[in-house]
Amino acid sequence: MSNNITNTPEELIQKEYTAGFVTDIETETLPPGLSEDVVREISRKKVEPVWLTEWRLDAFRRWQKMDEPTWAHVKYPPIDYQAISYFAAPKGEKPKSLDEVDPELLRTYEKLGIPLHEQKMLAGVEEDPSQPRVAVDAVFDSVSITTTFKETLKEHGVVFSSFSEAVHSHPDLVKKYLGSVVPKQDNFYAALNSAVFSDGSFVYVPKGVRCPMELSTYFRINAENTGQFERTLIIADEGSYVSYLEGCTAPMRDENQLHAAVVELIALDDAQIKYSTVQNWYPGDENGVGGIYNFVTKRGACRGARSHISWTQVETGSAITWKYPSVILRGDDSIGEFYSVALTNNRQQADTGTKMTHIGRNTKSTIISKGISAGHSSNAYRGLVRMNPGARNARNFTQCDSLLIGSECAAHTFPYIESRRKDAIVEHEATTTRVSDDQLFMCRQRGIEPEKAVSMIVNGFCRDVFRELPMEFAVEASKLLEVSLEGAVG
Amino acid sequence: MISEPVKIAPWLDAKQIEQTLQDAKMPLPRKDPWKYTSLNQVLQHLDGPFEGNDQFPASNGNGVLIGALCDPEIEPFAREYVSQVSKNSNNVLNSVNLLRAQQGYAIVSCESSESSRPAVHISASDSCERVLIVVQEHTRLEVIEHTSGGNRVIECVLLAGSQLLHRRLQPASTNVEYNSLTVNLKENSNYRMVQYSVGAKLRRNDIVVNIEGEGAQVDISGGWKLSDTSHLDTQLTVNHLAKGASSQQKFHGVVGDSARAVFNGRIYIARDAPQTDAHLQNKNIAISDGASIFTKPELEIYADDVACSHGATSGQLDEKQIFYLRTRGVPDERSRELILEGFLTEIVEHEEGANVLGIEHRGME
Repeated sequence: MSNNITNTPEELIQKEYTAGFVTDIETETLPPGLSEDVVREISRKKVEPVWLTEWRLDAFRRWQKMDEPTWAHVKYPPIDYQAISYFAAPKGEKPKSLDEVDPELLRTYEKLGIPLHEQKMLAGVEEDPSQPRVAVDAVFDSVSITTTFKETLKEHGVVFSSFSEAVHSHPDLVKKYLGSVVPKQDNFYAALNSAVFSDGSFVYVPKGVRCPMELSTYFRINAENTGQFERTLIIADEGSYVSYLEGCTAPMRDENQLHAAVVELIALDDAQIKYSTVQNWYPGDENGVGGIYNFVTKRGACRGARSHISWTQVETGSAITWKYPSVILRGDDSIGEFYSVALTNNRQQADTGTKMTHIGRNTKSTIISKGISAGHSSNAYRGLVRMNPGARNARNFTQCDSLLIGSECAAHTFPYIESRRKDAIVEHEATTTRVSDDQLFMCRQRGIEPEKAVSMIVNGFCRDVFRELPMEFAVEASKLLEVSLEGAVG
Repeated sequence: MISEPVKIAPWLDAKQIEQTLQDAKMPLPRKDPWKYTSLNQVLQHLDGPFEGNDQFPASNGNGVLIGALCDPEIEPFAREYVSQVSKNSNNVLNSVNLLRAQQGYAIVSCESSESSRPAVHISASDSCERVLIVVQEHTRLEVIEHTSGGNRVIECVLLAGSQLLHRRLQPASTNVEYNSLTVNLKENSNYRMVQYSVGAKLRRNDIVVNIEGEGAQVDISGGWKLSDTSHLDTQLTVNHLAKGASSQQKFHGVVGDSARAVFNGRIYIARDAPQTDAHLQNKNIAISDGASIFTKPELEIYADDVACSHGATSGQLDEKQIFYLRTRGVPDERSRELILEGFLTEIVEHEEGANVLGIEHRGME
């Protein structure tokens, strides 16, 4: 590593994408194209009830009348929505247990370091109590492969299953809450997702239950010419707590693949949801060829009094990121938080941020956003803090900092502040700087190699966000940044 | 196409401007930069009728040339700069003004000394007018501008080493008002602006500053105090297009009754503008429940060797500060007044400014 220091920073910022392999497995895909028939076919494949098919069709009709949003600070050629296949699943019946899962698929998850074997993890816990247990829902292209620890969770009354399963096992909950936070006509991509969503995770934590382990979903795109449209719904009933992690990767391909997900969180009285994402979709190569278009709508509703929703995201992948995890603070004394690190390199473009809508009294929100741009990339923070007339004594604090590495990259900040309440307090501050020579010099003086120094400085810059991540994710996030910035000498 | 001269600048072709207007992308209502202010109300206002004004601004001293754009002495400057200064600002309303303006004049600084600087007063009028300000190399000029109703578009160019002090006074008004200002700065020039505003039915100030020369300095500040149902919208863009320049922006506002304050402050730093130092701050205090504050400080940065920051706050009077004054025997109402005065005094530099804002002037000129 240290031998490379004579190279230019641009040459040195080489991002190795280790999750870029393709799993050779027979897939059943729908032919490319989108029509009412395709929507019906997806619904039929999932043996869905009539109301859901109609819900999808309504979303599709609304989507047809909508325009693609153009306000984001990203550039990409027009997407041909008729050239995408909207359903891809490994062939064969859905496996009943892990033993029936195609070994090729198991190997894929093993390679990605995702534990699908409960026993191994359990054994690990017994030997080493500090090792946290994680229940995993593994989504491969359009379907969920397996969900682990279901039985253990069931003992506590926690429902953790794939979305398709929940439609059958908990239809009342799904019907009550689906689209209640992100309505199907919310925006262009949410409408598209509502029409064609395939799978995702469903979580319900009953009253007063503290979920005994971290829940996690791992999304993997594998098939070619497909898009992934997952839907996640998490409901935390009164006084409950759940921490949920989300990870994602995709093979390295020359084509751009679309990922348009919708995540809805509902927190009732005194409930807390902690949602963490380490987003590592394939970002494209150094010339910007290939990569995932990540157009995601994530929103949480603090419906109950004293409820608490916290989003933490580490965004290192995707060719384009268009993502604004938001919180609607309706319950009195509710709390919304957003912690984000977004790293862009090469030709990546990110337009990401959050929306905090304060409706209830004494609601509080905190936004900490750290953007790092390197190479020829562009990184934008876009946020909205809205204090409605009823938000008595509401409070917001926002800090968004950008770090520039190299002279060809760009960093932007677009924070909207709307206050209609006298006693609401909104504070926003932002800075943009590069890795300073002073900091580098200080590290070099102490014998630290330049790459290591940059990595240390970047990690320090992101510390406020990393400490919000669950432990194992924090380690992964730190490592991801190290790999992404390998050799950058500012 | 038969050409038709523009009334105030006959060398420009009105038909051609109309054509470019038709081809131009019109701003959309309820979208940025017209998200919080009614574009239709402003467009209707631009349709007139205006009262008209045939008076030129007055100067207090020598060394400055004031005259109609087609005045033989002025015309060479006008030909070079009118509609050219603001050509990249992407504001179609500037072209609408050019076609409808009843009067167009220029203020050109010709000479100044270290000890004196000519001051020019532009008075308020309900008219549609076009103004060109040229501050020639190494000269200094002061412009005191009053606005109240009407539509005034100012194009301003600061040549190398020049200095302009611009005070803008916006007293209470029951009219709709649209002001557009574009300032281009060449090497080592210095632009200092202070804007003092109180309520109007609708008052919109579009300000675009282009730093085109190395080492130029920009310092813009403003204060507002709004009441009743007044609406003030300030859209400020500072484009750093050359290296080694600095810009500071500071705005403080007090919003009461059911008034609305809109502020958008944008700092743009081009790839060719390293070693830039740019900072923006906007603080707001709401003193009544019906008041609305919409603020958006933006950064758009394409160069890495820069130091930039912005901050925006919106809140109410600090109860601790009131308590402090109350414990010292100051009545509640007076302590609130004092704190608000202190908050606005931070940006007030001139007596006229203090008068517009209705506070006591404590600073030095």
